[in-house]
Amino acid sequence: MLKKLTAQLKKIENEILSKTHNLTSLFNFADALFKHKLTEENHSLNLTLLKHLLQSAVTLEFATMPPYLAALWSIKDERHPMAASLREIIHEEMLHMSFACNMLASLGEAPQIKTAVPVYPGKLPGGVHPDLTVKLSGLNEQSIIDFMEIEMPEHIVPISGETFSCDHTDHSTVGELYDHILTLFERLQPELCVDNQISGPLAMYVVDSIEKVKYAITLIKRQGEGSHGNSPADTGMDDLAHFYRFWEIKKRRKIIQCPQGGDFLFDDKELDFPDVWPMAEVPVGGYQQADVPDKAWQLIERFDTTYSEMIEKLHGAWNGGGQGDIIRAHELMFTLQKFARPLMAIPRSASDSSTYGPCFRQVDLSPSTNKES
Amino acid sequence: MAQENNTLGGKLSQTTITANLMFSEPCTLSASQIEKLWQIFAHIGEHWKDVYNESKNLKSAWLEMIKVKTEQQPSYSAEYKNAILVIEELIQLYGAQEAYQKLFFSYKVPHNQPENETEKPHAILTTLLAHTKYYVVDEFIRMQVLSGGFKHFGGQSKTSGEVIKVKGVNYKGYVKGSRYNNEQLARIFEQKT
Amino acid sequence: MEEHDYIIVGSGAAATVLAKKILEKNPLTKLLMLEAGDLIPAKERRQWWNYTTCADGPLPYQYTYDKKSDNQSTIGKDDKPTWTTSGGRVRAFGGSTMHWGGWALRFKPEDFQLFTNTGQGADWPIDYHELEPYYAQAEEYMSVCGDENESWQPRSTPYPIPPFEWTAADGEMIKAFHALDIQPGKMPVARYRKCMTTGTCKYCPYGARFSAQYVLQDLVENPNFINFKVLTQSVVTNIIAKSKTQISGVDYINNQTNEVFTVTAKKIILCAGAYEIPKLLMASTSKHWLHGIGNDHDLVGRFIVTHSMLEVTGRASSNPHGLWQEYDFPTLMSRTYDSPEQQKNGKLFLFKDRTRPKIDIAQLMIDGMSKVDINKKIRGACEFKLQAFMEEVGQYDSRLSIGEGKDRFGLPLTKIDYQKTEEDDKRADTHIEFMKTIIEKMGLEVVKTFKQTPRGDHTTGTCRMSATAETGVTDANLKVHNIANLYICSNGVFSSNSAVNPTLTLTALAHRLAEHLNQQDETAHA
Repeated sequence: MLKKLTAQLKKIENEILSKTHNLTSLFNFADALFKHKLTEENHSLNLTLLKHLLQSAVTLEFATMPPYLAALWSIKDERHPMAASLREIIHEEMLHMSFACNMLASLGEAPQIKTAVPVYPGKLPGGVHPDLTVKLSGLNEQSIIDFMEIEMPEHIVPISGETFSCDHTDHSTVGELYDHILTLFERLQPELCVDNQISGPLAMYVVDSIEKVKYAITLIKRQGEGSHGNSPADTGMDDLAHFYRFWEIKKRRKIIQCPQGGDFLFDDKELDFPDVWPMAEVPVGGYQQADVPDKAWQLIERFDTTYSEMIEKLHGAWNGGGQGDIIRAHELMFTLQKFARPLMAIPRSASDSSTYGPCFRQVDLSPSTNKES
Repeated sequence: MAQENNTLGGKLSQTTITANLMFSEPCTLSASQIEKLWQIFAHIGEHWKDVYNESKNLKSAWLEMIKVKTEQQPSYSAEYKNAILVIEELIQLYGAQEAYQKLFFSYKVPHNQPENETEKPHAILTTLLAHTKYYVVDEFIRMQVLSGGFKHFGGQSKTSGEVIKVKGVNYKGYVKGSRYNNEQLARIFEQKT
Repeated sequence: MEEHDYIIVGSGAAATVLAKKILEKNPLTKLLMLEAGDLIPAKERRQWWNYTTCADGPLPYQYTYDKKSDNQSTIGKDDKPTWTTSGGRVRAFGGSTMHWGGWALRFKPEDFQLFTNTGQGADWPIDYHELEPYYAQAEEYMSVCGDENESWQPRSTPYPIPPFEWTAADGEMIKAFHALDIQPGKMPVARYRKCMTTGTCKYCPYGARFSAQYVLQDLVENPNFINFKVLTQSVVTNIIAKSKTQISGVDYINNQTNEVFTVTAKKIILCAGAYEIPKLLMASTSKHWLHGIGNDHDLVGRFIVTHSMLEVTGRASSNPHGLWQEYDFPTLMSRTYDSPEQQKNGKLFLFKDRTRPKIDIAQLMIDGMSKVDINKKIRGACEFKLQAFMEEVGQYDSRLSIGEGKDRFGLPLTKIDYQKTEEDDKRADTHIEFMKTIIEKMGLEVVKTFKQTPRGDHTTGTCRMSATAETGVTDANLKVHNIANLYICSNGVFSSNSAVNPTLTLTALAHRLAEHLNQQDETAHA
């Protein structure tokens, strides 16, 4: 049995290395592993699986941020309530990623961020919602549907009797990923190490007990897709889970709760959709210098450089750099919009009303490849 | 006229030295040195019973502070190494619990009494013990409080039958910020209608 | 010698707006900025840890403050200087917004017509409505967080960011305000969204409090602005008049090498603050300008005025809610007495001292207090403080001139002849009595009152705007009267001081001047 499981894991690890793995194979492996009692022999298999799942979580949480950021920056009026809602979602995704990194660091494993940067358009890492191709574009009808699919819970609470469906059928969800992670933590009861974890503004607290792991995962799931008890809003109607916030944007209606029955409804009052830059979908591989005007290219290049610096610092934070690196990463993230917003105002051509947008490309930061300005 | 309080510690603690920050080259402390310094920090939490259970939540920030204070000029490396030795002596003499008790609650760094009333008294740092208290313990206390230790002061109090939670939300140096969307930035004035 | 398009003297709030707007309009503009101070890094981690954990929490720019020993102000009846200079400004790349509190309030319409309304002081040659669109630009630029429900003055656009809410510690004062028909307001502050409310605004670790330094750094790093240069430690000593109506350039000394340089430009803009600009003008004598540039009518340096802070402290016998300072800026203010009706009697801008109640838990622990005793102290007696700025009117005899000797930056020392008028003294006493009623209304015992000696933070009037050269130094477009190409953009051009902080108004003026210069350049090129 052990040999078979070991071989299975080895296969999965090869897939991970070649970035062809998916969560389904990890979940299937987990199910197979859980059928057997935890022993000294299979302990390392369980632990290795947990680390792979956590790394998938890190990469996944990171992967949601660029499309959400692009959508946020496309909203011209930063005061618009939908901009505020998106901003809050992004804050929480950063928190989720930090928790995932802390959980992985607690096992003595350094999270990999700069070696696992997602590309767009592309699939979500780990095969979550494998039919979905995530693109970089401004806030529009399709991007909202895509965001809802990303955050889709296993059980959707109907709103005004409506439910959400999309064309895609395979929905390995983020929630399932965290369920498996929690199961493994509870199973293994590993000793958790605080060193190399980050707490503070972006990570709330360190994970030093299974209770903290449970708390972190419950928070991630509740903020993302709603609680286990199937409420979109058990932290309050002004703090809905991400899935439902996107649904509000899609429907142009606030979600309210019926006082009597507790059912959730879309409010009658229509919300106005913000004025957005018509950011075109960023093409495969991103924009190339030869294809864009100089003004746009300067902004694209500076964006990519700053983004890559941010990734370096983010990676560094959990790989020895600590608090100082995460503060710098945070600052660089705020700097990105300085390039993104003006870029979104540049039309792609005289005949095309759509505009450019940031490519979120990781570039080489070594001095020898820096171009002279 | 300085207030003398040299009754704590032994020969090492009472060794005289100049007041300024001890000079040292920037360096990286070893893991064992960091761990010993961490014990001083953790004991602050234990003795004021505020953050001991959550000291670990402050560690990443504390490590950053130690790093920048030792690896950049003016370096605190010598002060930290001195503090480790002074604490070890105190522990040898009094046992850990009493050593920290005395250091935190009994020992007072001498201060001068300026003639001009508007001037603040200055610390007189003429012993290794005084250096430990001023440059290490006191700064660790400030670090701990600004990182969240203040939240554990106050607590519930009853005033005319009403239970009032006094717990603070924000403090100088504390990174409260906008990251946690459903938490207040500070205790806000709630207008009763 | 290559001629620049612009030379800007100074690198603070005004200078940065001008450089930004000019360069954005034409990125190839040859713009030279000369700053006497040095570059002091912001957001530096070690500096922040020093500030928050060391015994006296040093700030890295404090060494640039004027020394007390440099003060050459008039000595008053109490044997103390009538004007203090120390602590009022920062001499460094980015200027005084490195240390400012970020309070960003507009002047009100009546402030622009002080003379018409009161018979005192002077009118501005522009009115509020002319400046209003530039206030909106300034608020956007500085990311001012304000209350969209407030209506202290007319506004065409909402604030870019919502306000910081009143804190619990503001509560009793708010109630007292209401009881006395004083309208409470939320202090508008210049903070970016990334504010983490650390309360260490004086050296913000996130760069969240607006500082011109951040904007200037971006300009320096922008690869498009290839002809933009900032020289620090470069002290301008003389403005060169080519003729009565034309300036050719400036002389400056490099403080590191002591070399003297002469640089020329089509236009020169002086943005070096209300102290240095008049001294520079007065020092720039020639056959064309015997008493200094723009000083034929002996008005340069005159009408110097600032805000004196008034304070009333009240003591509460207990603090059952354990309130303490939570932000490093005040959240509660009122402009009820900053009104047209009050203008004749001296306007009053009220705000609650952000630092009270003052509970330094760390210091109590350092002093060896136990947790139980600290908790008792938190709930024990404490103080609240009401503060105010009072509007004063610049007087002809109050003047700034060149002092004897130089400071460590190589700038001439500042002599200020100033005497508060009897009227202003009486007004201050009346205001203090009024402020006491507010404190008493809170149920507190008044324990202290204080009238601050005028300090230079909000100095205005030294090169004031006017309709004619006989009554001021600069015209409605901030151009020095009768000189084609010399401009001044600093608090010194204000014709009145109002009762509120000057920086937002200065930034609005800078936006307006930038637009004016850009239009001129466009016309010239066409």
